[in-house]
This record gives sequence, structure tokens and C-alpha cells, in this order.
Amino acid sequence: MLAILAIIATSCTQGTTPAASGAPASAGASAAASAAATTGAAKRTITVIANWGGGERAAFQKVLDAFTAKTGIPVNYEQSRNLEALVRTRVAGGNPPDIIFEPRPGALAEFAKAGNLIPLDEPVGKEILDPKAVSAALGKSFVDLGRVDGTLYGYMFKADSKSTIWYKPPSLKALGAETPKTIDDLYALADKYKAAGKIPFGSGGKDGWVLTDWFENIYARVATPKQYNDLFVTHKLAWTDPSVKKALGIFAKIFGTPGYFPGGAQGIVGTAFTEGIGQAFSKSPVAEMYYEGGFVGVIIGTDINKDLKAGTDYDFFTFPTIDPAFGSPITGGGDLAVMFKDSPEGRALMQYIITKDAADIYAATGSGTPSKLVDSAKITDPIAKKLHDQVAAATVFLYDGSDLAPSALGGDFLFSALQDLVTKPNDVDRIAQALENFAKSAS
Amino acid sequence: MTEGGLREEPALIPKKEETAVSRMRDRLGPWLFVAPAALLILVFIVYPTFWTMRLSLFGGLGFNFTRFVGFDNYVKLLTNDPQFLDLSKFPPGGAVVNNIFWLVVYTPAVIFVGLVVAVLADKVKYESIMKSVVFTPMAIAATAAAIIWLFVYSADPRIGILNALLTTVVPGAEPVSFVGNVDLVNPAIIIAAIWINAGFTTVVLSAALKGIPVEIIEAARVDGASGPQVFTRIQVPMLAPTISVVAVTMIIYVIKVFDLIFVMGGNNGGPLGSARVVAFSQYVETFNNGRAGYGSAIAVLMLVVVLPFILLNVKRFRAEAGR
Repeated sequence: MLAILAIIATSCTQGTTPAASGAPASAGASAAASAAATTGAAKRTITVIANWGGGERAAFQKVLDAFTAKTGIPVNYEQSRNLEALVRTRVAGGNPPDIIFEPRPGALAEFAKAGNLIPLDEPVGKEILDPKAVSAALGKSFVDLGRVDGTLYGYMFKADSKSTIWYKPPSLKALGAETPKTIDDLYALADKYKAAGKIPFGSGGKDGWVLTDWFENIYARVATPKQYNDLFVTHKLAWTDPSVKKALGIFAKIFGTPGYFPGGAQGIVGTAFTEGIGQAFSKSPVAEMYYEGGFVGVIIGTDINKDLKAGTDYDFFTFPTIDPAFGSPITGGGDLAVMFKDSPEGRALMQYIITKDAADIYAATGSGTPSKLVDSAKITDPIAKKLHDQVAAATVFLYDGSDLAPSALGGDFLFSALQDLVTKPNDVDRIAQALENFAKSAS
Repeated sequence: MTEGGLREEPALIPKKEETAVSRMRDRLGPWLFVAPAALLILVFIVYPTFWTMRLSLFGGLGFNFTRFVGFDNYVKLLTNDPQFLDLSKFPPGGAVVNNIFWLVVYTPAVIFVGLVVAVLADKVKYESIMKSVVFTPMAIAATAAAIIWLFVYSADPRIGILNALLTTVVPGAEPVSFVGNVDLVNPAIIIAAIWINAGFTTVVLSAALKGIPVEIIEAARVDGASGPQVFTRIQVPMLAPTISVVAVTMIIYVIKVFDLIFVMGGNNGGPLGSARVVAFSQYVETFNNGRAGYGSAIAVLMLVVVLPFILLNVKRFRAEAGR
């Protein structure tokens, strides 16, 4: 028994490439491993924290189950909607989790600079993740999101388009309308719904990030990717720049038009993200469309209303263009697997999630993955396939700007400022100035 | 002071022959008894307090002492953080002002409700049932209570009972988003807090009410005092010490209130951060934004504000012990 354990242990620690840890060669070992697990032999349970709940959690649990079946390493998944607060507390208390899935590259950089993270591609020759395997799985822009000053700390496991407006095809058909291509089409559609006595959008602005996602989509369509980066990441571009004010103005127009959202401004800032999805897609809906990222599809299908059929009862269209000069960039978000504590078991999980096996299991649940290894033809869910293709076909993929920004700016201040703009849509200048003042004092 | 107090004690017991050992034992003995408690207080209260004070003088991210900034955190908090204290507009805003609003509205209200229930319940046969009903919310975790109230306040009349009432009683009325309205969110959360804590004030005040000798009330009645007169002239003055204990407890509760706001107001502390209180700001700055030094400065300010009330309490305990 001990001898078998020793073999498994070495195969785990030495397996720096996915081929070594996940190839047929280890099939025998994995059978032995599950035997070892059932006899309760010494495999440390590792703790993984992410913010996925409900359907998103169930999807990721399938990946974890496959990992445990393969390696015999038990994984304790903890969900937190307030991930960074929890992780910072545990780090400060000297009890960091093994692995977290961090949605904010800005926060990842803060953790890395504080020395909390385990580098994934150092030292050369003894890397936790084989650089070749990483670049085989992810495109360069996704890999770079996990880098801080050249060192790889995070692996982008999940990525979702955030340029998706969810709608109900039957409702659109009843109205005799088509999916909008430009922002003017969107206004026209919303007005048409209004004229028909319906409310066009569900909201969700109590969770400030829903509002920042709206703003980022708008800004990406009135500015260049460089300006986008300069505004959110390096802050070389002022929040009072004309391009920013233009985007804030469009934002104010959408949120300030009476009748576009249930309950007006107060309804918007009083409604949480999932409640907003419910406004449009629950069994007794009050709205017709909902803007948020690709993950909304999974949430509708598993948590909001299981009766709705993907592709026929609910579907999405790409966030419409605003200025033809800037086209239709895809904004998106994701979650980076980050290691806080080094252990053979933790390494095994990191090495597993970059494999094709893991990506295929995850993609099959309809979840968004940036992995190039996934065969999109095998994704059966029509929405998941469409989302995958949207990200793959994007000429420009811009990561969620507020997630790139330092925590203080990308977090509550921007949230409050945009909520402020929702309630006072005429105050674009004042709010741009307040944001600029804060960005200056925070840096 | 302790020295003197400790030395007097041997005089109370029959005089023994004093040896060096027994003298030593007399001196050390009391300290040994105090030691476990003192050690715990030292490790878990005194040390962290000083650590927090030190951290509050540092900037940057995380719990570390790398970038000394002196009193910059305090200066910024009080002069350049509109989410914490905003005196530039009228009425002023920010977490500090909100907390004062809580103090002024919540504290008297929760005592008043407790007092009224205690006095009224005293007069009826089903007193214990009534007090149990008022006390039940105390048994509910604050988080659960906050979620219950979110349902009550829901802007969807099919979920929120208040909006259901409103839209039925006033046909055609627009549902009100209680937690989405900058002006309503604070009163809405305060009402939930009163609902939770009225049980506590009721039980404490009711117990004190029972302690008032019946003779005094009877004598007042004989002299022709009416019900309200008995209440305002006899019961309330005689309850004054208890009311002040309850008030101090509630004031300390208000200064550190967090859970209700976090759950009902969301991650951002209400619309536009309008429901933030000081403890909430401390949490957001320390953990969400990672600025532990800045958050510690808020914690120190909170300590400074709470201190007088704690001293007041200690002083009264002393006075009662000396009686």
C-alpha cells in the first residue's frame, strides 16, 4: 500500500506537464489512487475558493469531481461572493487557501506584489505549469492577463464575453422587431417595447459591477483599445477626457430614459444582479432584455427558470456598435486560477485544469473557457457554442476595465459614481470630475 | 492603588507569623488569580489595539508596515474622502454623518418601543406571550433578519408586502424601491434594526419595571395620579438608571453596526454608498480595497468615539459595586 502511495506521490510531483500527469500512463495509477482515496489514505484535502454559486458552481464541480476521481485528491470548494475580502483575511491570518479563482487581474497584481502568490513559471526547469502547455492552451493575450512583471501567477481558466445582451426571441418576434446592430437600433427597439406597454430592460445596478460592465462596453465602442487601457490600467487618460464624457453621456441616456428599466433610477440601484435577470427571465417577467456577460445564460437555464429553452426561449445578441470607426470590440471577464500555497496536491490541480480534459468537461456544461484545446464543434448547447464563437471571432478582446484597475478605483468608488449617474443623468461633468479626483488621490 | 489594596487583605485574616515565604505568597497569590484573564486580554485586546494603531500610520496595500505615512490616513479620511465624511454639501453626507443619524434616530426609537411594550405588557394577562413575540427576532441571526426585511421591502409587489399594500390601497401607485432610494434606505434599515433589538430593550426594561415597589405606584394612585402621570412621573424616573444602561448598549451597537447594512445595502453599502456607516467603511477599505492601513485608521477613530461610552459604563459599574 505504501509503495503504491509513493508511486502516486512521485507521479504527481514530477508531472510538470499535463501529458505526464494526465496521460494514459497514469491510468493505472489513478485507479490505484481512487482505491487509496476510498481507504482514506493520506491525501491532503485542498481548499479552492471562487465566487461561483448555483449553476456556475455546479459546472465547476464537474471539473473538480473528474480531478478527484483521477488523482484521489479531495477538494473542498468554498464559494464567496466577496472573494477578495475573504482571501485577504485568510492571508493576513496566515491561513491562505490553496487555490483561488480571481476575477480581477488588478487584485492579482496586488497579491503578487505583496508576495502572497506562488509563481507558476519559475524557476525554469521546475515550473509548476509547463510554459509550452500553457501557450498551447491559451492565446497570448489571455496568458498575459496572468502575468505580473513578466512572471506568470495566474491561469485564465474561465472567460466570458461581456458584450452580450440577453433577449427573448418570442417577445422580439411578437413585436415584429429584429436584433439591433447599432445603438440607435437599440434605442428604437427599447422605444418600441415602451410603446407596446412593456419595459425593455431588467436592471441590476445594486451590484455596482453590472453598471461598470455597461460603461466598459460603451467606452470600448467610442475609444481605441489603447485609450481603454490608458483609462483603466495606467490612468494616463483622465476621466474628464472627452471620450470618457461621451461614454458617460451615452450611459446616462440609457439609464436616464424613463420607462427603460423597472422602477426607474431607484429601481435600478435597488435591484441586485440576479434579481435583474429574474426581471427579464423569471416565470413572471416584467422586462424584456437583460445586459450582462455570457454567464447569464447558465444562470437563466439552471437557477432562474429551467422551463426556458436555450436558443429558442432565450438568446443573446452582441452589444450594438456605437461609432463605426471603433467597430464592435468584445469586452469580457474571466477567472484566473491563482496559487497561494504550494503543495503537491495543489500543483496537481493546477496542472489538471490546463488540460484538454478539464477544458472539455467545463465547456460541455456551457461555461465559457478561453482554452484553445476545446473542440467547439463538440459543444452541444447552442448558446455556449455561440458564445465560444463570439469570443473566438473577436478582432479585439478587451478585459473588463474595472477588474484591471487597482481595487480602490475599480471597486466601490466607480460603483457609487455610476449609481450616482443613474440617479442624476444630467451630471456627467460633475461625476467625471469626481472620478478623476479620486483616481488622482488613489494612485 | 492595587499595591495598597492587596496589602490590606492579610489584616483581615488571623495574624500568622510572617515569614519571607508567606509574604511572597501573599503578594503573588492575587496576581496568579488575575494572570489568566490578564494574559487573554493582553494577547487578544491590548496587543491588537496597539498593532492596529501602528498600522493606521502606514499606507499601501495589505497588512504590512512598509510605507510609513504618519497621520496622512487620518487627514485624508476627515478632509478628502466623500464616502467617509462629506461636508461639502448640505446636508452633509458620508459614513460618519449616517452613523450620527443612526444614533439620533435609532437609539431613542428602540428604547421607546421597548419601554412602551414593557409598560403595556405589564398590564395584561398574556404578558409572557407578548414579550416572547417581541423577543423572537433576537433569536434570528442578523443576516437572516436582513434578508427577511429585503423581502418585505422588495420593489416587486408580488414579493414585497409593503409594496403589495401600497399598490392595493392606493390603486395605480408606483412601487417604491426602499433599499434603492438614497433617502429611504437608512430609515428602512433602521426599522429592521429596531425590529431586531426591541426585544432586548423590552426584556431589560420590563425586568426593571417589576423591580419598582408596588407601594409607590399605589401611593401615587391614592394621591390621584393618572395612568400617564404614573408613567412619566414615577416609572420613567425610577427606570432612569436602567434606561441609561440600555442606551449605552444601543449606542455601542450603533457605532459598530455592520451586518444589516452589508446584507441589505449590498457590497457597496446602499445606493451610491448612502447607507454606509463607519464600521462598513472600515470593512470595505480594509478587505475589499485592501488598504489595511487606511481601514485601521477608521478603526482607531471608532475606538476613540466608543471610549467615552465604555468609560461611562465602567464608572457606573464601579459606583454600583461600591454601593
